[in-house]
Amino acid sequence: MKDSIDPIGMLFGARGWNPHQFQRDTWRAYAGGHSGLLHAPTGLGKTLAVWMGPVAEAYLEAEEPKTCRVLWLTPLRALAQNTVDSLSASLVELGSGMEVGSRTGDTSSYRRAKLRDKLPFALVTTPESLSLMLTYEDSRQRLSDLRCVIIDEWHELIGSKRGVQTELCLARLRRWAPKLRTWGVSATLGNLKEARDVLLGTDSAGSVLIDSRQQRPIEVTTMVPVSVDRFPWGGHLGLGMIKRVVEALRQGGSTLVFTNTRSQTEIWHQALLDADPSLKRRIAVHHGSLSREARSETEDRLMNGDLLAVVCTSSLDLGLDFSCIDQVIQIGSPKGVARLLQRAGRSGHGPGRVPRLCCVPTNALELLEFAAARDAMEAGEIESKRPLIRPLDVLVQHVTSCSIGERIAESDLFQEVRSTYAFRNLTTSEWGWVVDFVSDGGAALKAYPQYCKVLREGGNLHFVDKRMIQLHRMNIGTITSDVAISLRMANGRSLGSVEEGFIRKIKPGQAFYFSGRLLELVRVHQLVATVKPCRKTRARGDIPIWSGGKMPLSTELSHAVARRLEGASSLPSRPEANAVGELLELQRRWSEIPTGKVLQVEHARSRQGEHLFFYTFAGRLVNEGLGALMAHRLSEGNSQSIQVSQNDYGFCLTSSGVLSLNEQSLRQAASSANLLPDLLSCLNTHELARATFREVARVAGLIQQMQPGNRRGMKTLQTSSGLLFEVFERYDPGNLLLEQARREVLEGSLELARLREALQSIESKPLRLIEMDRLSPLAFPLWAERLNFVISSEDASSMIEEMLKDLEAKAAQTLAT
Amino acid sequence: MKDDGSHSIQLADEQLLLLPERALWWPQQKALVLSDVHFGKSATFRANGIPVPEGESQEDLDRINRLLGRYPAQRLVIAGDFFHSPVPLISSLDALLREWLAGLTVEVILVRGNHDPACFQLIRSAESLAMGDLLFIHDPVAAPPDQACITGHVHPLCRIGKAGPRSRVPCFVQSGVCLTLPAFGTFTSGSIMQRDEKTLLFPVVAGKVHAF
Repeated sequence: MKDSIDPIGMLFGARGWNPHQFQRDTWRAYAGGHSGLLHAPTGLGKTLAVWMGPVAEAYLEAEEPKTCRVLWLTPLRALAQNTVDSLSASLVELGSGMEVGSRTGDTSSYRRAKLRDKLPFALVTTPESLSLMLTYEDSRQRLSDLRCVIIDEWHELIGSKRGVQTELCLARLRRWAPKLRTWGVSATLGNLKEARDVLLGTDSAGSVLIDSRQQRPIEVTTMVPVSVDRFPWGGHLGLGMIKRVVEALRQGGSTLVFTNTRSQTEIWHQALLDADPSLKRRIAVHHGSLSREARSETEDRLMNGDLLAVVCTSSLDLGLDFSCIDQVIQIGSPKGVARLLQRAGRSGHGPGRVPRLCCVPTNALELLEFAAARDAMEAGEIESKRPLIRPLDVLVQHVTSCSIGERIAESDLFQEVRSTYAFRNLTTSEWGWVVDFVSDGGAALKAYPQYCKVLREGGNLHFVDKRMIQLHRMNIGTITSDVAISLRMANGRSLGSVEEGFIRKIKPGQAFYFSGRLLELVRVHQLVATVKPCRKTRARGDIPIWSGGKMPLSTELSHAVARRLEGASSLPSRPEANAVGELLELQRRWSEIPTGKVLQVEHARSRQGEHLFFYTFAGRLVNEGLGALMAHRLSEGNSQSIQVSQNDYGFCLTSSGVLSLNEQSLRQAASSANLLPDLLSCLNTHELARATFREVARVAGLIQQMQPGNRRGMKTLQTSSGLLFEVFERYDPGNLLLEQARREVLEGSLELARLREALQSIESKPLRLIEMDRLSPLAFPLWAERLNFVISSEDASSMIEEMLKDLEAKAAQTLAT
Repeated sequence: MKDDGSHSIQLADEQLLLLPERALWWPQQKALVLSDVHFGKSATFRANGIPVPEGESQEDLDRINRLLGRYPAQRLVIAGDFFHSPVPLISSLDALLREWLAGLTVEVILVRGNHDPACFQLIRSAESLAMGDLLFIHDPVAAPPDQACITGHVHPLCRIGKAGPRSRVPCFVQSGVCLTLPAFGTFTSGSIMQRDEKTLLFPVVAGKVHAF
């Protein structure tokens, strides 16, 4: 009887909708028993595409299933309830009694206990909560009838340790539930195929990749400043356009104003209020350092239409579907193509509406970046996200989790782990080390007397110590929370957190801006800073600085910028590119325009000595590495004598002495041979690894995450990761976690792969050495960048002013002829 | 500052030598003074299922031995937290400690700290200890206001030079008539001290005690 029923048709019919082709494809693939990855832009119904397959399957069964059939993983726990509501809605419309529930870190212990009694048809959860759930004894049995696991926003997880944690959990689930199909949903990525393979591991045979290929058109405009600096300098922040941004807010309706750093959100929020006091209470700030309550209050007010605009960082890149947003304003460099697309896509949801993006460059180079980002968007050149390979800290945590509750055979677990993409090449010796490390110290037993965590008996692992299990469960996850000072009002209300370094510089009684409010510091005690609203009239506050805001330009975007500079005739004319005409004209007359086809090097002198400017278009991090490497090689180890400064376009070497200028020695300095040893000897990789060890130690369970309420009795287990790093180096130097910290420095912080590519590309290009009488427009920002490091900011800005005056005068002469 | 990197100060009327090994030599009393060894710290971690390698226990005892060999000490005063945990030591460390104590030719006095077990038979211990003009007490907060004291507990560090993890170094702190020793233990961290009008810091940098 049920054969003739088509639940999907019923649902879509009732809503008066026509399924998209990608939805039909996904349903068909699911019904055919396939796993896969779906790529579709937001706002087109991707949720129903992956959800209705398993729903239809269960709906057509003779009896409604009593077991849990679907797991829905979301990277944001704030999204869980929203997802439950939208998934439930379709079940209710079908008149089905099947239920959807959620389990995240926010779920009350009462709800959790209920879930332990009975799981709903579908459960919405996060990678952390899933990992934790897998450690409970009856989970295997309760999840054995699972049919589908859906990973939403997979692009957010891939490339991170959370992604690897997800891979490992999926491998576990596949063994428990033989009928399991895995479906991922991803936004645009340059490596969708690889993203699918990572999601599915060795299970990817026969899987599908469904690409909706439907691009929602985006309406992009760029605010071109009336006068563009001929010598771009990041010091002033485009606040000169504040009036026009206010205008855009008034005209454009509900707006998300994206900036690149948390400090910038505070600065722009304040500037908007100064420019138009009537915006008071109609705009708000949103960033990752605000308390969760403050953030959700802002989100609610935005949804209700209470707010005209929210100034935010990547904290709103994904998350709740704000269907009310009319436009997005991006302040400052787009940094990446996918990032700009993602942000633009936060607006214009709903039938018949389009996303609207307004770009606000804060210096002349960013005009070019916006032009280039638009080129790349139109050409579909989107960044890839590289998956992480073999992070042993995540494996240490996972193996410990797996041996809780039931005896597990080492060989089975090894096989299961190797079925993931991240650990497909895990060696037996690495595996052996991990097992030793979580059990009794193994080969390095002498260094770990009387340590015994997971029991090892006859090839089986079994974790039984209740107290240690409890400690382990509290530390499951890979998110490292920063040591931050929490800000509280005198009544105890939490406002969020700032970095310790900032608050230590503020004296009691001094004012600063936070969350768009002027606050006065009362006192700092331990990890809490007590503040009160600042009532002093005319007080100017400081803006907190959070470290780590310097994100590099992506490779794709750097290349697109280089093509813009080349002025390829195939590129469309864009107002923002035309606006930098004078800058480029000066660059052409005084030097030449650097492109991706040659390695241009400019040689100039200033009061500080000699400068060499290299234009590589390799992104800030790689340029930093390249600069350090060349300084080291050119000075034959005495690298103190050469200073390096860098930006996304290139780097500058400065020496008070004479810099070698012959092509051969420059070539040798930029050779890709001997890269690793030279890099290790010139950079303080030891210091960097020590810093990186914080995350490794946290994930591997060496550092206990402090949780409120759990502080008691934990004091004797507190230590710093830096100290642990030294202890391991001294007493167990062969520890593979040290090795991993070093690898993470090379691959992550220094982007070794990109660095090697950059050197190889330099080797293949002709070198163009240009003698300069003065700094070229593109050299100026590199020169100025250096000053901020070597002298105080007051001295730096006066020197920069002086240099600018000089250059502008010369520029006027040049352009007049 | 002297050739061996130590630094001489005066506290009440007593002449004291601050040693770069993060200990103190009191010639008048022939006493070697140190604080916060946290013996058995890595073992405490291991007992809780956190794999931290052993090594610091032996090393710290060796370091004390070397100092005892260098100065004509008659007593060793520990200003608290010789142990990391009041839980009894694991057998191998217990044996190590007994052997070390048996080999000592000086009197050992432990001024009990918050980490130390309430009673420990092998070492003579007390809540506080008066010697000459000075009082030893573990926590500087508990020190009587106008009494010259030697304390530990806070593991003082201070920042030197440019930012970065290596810029934090252990230091002696003199606040009025109260001297706080840096933690002696290898596996110890600490908290940053701020200098003000009545606080002097003596950081240990590259094997030397500096005044600043």
